[in-house]
Amino acid sequence: MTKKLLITVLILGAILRLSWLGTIPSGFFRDEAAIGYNAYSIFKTGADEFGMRLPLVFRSFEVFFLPAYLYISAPIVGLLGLSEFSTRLISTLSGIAAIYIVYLIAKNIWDKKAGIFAAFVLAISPWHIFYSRGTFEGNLGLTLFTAGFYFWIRFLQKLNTKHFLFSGILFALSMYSYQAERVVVPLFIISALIVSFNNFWKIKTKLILPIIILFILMIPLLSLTFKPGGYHRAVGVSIFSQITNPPGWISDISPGVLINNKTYLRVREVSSLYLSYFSPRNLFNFGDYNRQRSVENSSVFYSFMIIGLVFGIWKIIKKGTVNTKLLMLWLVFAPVPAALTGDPFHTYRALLVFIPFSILIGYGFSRLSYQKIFLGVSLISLSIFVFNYFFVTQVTRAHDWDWGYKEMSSFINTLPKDQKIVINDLSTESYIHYLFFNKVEPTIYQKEVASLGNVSDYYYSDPSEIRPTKIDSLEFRKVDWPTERGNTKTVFVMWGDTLPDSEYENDPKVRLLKKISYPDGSDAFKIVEII
Amino acid sequence: MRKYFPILAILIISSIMRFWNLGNIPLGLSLDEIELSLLLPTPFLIRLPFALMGILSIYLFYRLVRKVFNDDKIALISTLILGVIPWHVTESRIMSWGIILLLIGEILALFLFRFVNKKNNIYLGIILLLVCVIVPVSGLAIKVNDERLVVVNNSPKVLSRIFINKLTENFRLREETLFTNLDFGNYFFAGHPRERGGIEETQKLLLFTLPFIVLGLFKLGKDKSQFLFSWIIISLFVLTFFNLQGSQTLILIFPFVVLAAIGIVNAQRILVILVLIFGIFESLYFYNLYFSGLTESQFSPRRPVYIELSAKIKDIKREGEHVLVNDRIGNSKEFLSFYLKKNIEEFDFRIFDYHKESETGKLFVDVFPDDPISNEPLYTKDGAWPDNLTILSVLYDVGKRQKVVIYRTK
Repeated sequence: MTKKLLITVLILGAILRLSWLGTIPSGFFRDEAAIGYNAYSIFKTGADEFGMRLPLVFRSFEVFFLPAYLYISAPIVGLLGLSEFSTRLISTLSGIAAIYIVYLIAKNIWDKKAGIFAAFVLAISPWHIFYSRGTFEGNLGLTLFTAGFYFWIRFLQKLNTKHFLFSGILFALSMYSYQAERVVVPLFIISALIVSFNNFWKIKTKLILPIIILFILMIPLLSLTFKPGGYHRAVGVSIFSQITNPPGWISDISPGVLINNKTYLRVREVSSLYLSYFSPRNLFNFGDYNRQRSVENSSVFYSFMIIGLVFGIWKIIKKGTVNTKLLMLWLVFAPVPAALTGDPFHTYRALLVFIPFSILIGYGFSRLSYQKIFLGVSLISLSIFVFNYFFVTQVTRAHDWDWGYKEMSSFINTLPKDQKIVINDLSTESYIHYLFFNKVEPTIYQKEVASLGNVSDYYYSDPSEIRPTKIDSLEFRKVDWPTERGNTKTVFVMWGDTLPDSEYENDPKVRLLKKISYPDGSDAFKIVEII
Repeated sequence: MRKYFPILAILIISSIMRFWNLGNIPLGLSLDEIELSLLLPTPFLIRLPFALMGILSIYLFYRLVRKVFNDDKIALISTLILGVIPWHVTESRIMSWGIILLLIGEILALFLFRFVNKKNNIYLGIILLLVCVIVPVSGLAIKVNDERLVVVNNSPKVLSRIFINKLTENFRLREETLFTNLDFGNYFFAGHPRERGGIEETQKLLLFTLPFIVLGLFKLGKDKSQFLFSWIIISLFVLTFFNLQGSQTLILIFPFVVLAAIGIVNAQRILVILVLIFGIFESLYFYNLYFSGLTESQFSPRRPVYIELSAKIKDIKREGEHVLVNDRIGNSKEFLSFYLKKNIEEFDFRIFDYHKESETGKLFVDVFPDDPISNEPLYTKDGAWPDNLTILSVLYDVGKRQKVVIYRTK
């Protein structure tokens, strides 16, 4: 019976994650395009868009993506072809795998019933469906961490060094997937070692070889830690590198002990950011503050799930075990990286915290009566979410997902090859969409990059913006329309709200070639030609 | 008699914190307080009843906690916390519905204790909460239609009708109120990091109480938890039903303070000492700002600008001179009527553009926002005041982010 239920849950999870994967979410975010194209470039040339052979991080528009997702995606993108579907597939498969691993964790900590409930909660949770349907390297990191946790608790149960090695490898791979894991994994391992010190001490000699293997695995990442390519992203978003004053600062008053005390105010700020990841309002009602990372009218979890969470935590308080302590340690450390950045409730950076929440919610509901009511409410909530995600959000949030570049790139392909085209690149990242959707041969772009200098001289050490502004006859830069509108025989691609209709309606020398609209009818791009 | 010393001491300390400089801290009155001035002529007298209700609520709180927990230590510690915690102090110093609700809750709980202290109340509270979240309210049609218009071209009409309607919208509104009142940021960090636009975010609890509250939850016995959870659920129902947020949620202070006291009683002594040292620092930090008038938020309903404005007008206005006040300043008639003790016969309150005023010989009281658009009457390209005006005084209205300007035309 449990097996049938588990298969049903997995099928449900797979359907929610795989359906229309190539087209929903509408649009294709720039980070997705960067990951997909660089994976494609690795498959074809063994080098990234800059021509750097097998890099440790991918510096695409100075984000310095960690490598695991891209290297795992490379053969898939190569075999299936460069597309939204193939680029997102690893994240989706990670999400489906996570459902099964969560079942195993809850089953090991409590019983099969808790396992089924936890898996079901994860399968239908808005946050997990959302992050399993986009190219999110953090989702891969999350699944690897979750699997590492599973083998850790298996190791503690059986003191089998193979489990220890698997756990270590999975934790290490998670650190190669996303930045947050580079902070959480060491914190978790150190505290887990303290909690289960006696177990480790019993078999200390058997652990020497696995530890050496794991250390060797970590060397490349450790070497990167002290280069700008390895820490630029983390430092850039940290609250300690911000020049603004902390909240509670009163302007025009000198600092003192009992007023404008920066140390105290920073402690409060970090505390507020940290606790926001445990706030019921954020978890069950408001969700992520960013439009691109949220679903219309939905939050991280369904609101009724607070009942399961409260009950699950209550049960653990009354009767905890070593495994529940480890789960709580995971919960406590998971928001730390996100809390050290200034953004309020950034779900992506705190992705690790939502798995233990999901497990606790599932456990809580598995111990409550009236489980048919739980199932009924779950299905109603899921249907509302499906409508909001598959219909409402695809209309209202298309802009936030860089919708329109596919259509724009296709249209550019219909123009003569030698046509001078200038793309008004306000975000400085339009080029990656063009490369992706036109499947530009990586060697072509690598040649353009090579003209900027020797890539190994700056790749890991210089985090400033370094990229070409031209690909063949296409230019990617800011357009000064009043000055450039007289440049004849030039096609300009302008973002919809930057070029009023009157510019081409009232001027015979400016011809509208194509208008690309968002799903809600507003203008995405206007492509005009100066005659 | 000696057994009453501790509670008396707490009440005395609490009274000092509530009555000292009551008329001036916080600076300025709100519109609600101004409306009370029909009965009570000065800021001190307007706020006095709420300060007295605050003291009474502290005493009743003590009685209630003693009854529920049968433990004098917990009762005294929690009462002391209540007496000095910012939330209760600041609410006792203004016209506050929160104080009134808390008082009503305590009185009802004391008199109906036998009925309140039952497990069924938790279930009753949950049912009431569910009912008020589901039952639709009026006035939702426009929002529903706007939202439906956005999606109807991109989804089957039937689906949009099923999932976007008054029922779902009501659910979302109530749900938002309910969960807003469950946000840690509201209680410990004055709304940070997700401050709400238009809501006066205030410091309610201090961070040092948090570890004790968590410990208190662990140490709460099953028999005592019934009362506490009943209180929480029924309070949440009342707040959700009446859509109360911000300072009106004072009734929820009860469980926080009680749990903190339980945590203090059960914690190791060294931990208590260390955390309390931090707590004393936090309290000093907050009250240094509060009694210096530096804790008012951007959305504070209090308008201290009117204190200075009324004094300036008194100084500047000539005998028999008419005063034209731009009502864009916000509720100008009500506030000036109070501060000028109703001597406003020669005042005219309306929205105006001084360029279009034909009568001369008036004193103008006008407004100039921080982010002006070019068609603001007082706007000039170089940022100076218009040449044809004699500027007599410029006051800054912090809350509304605008300047209040007194001038005459040349």
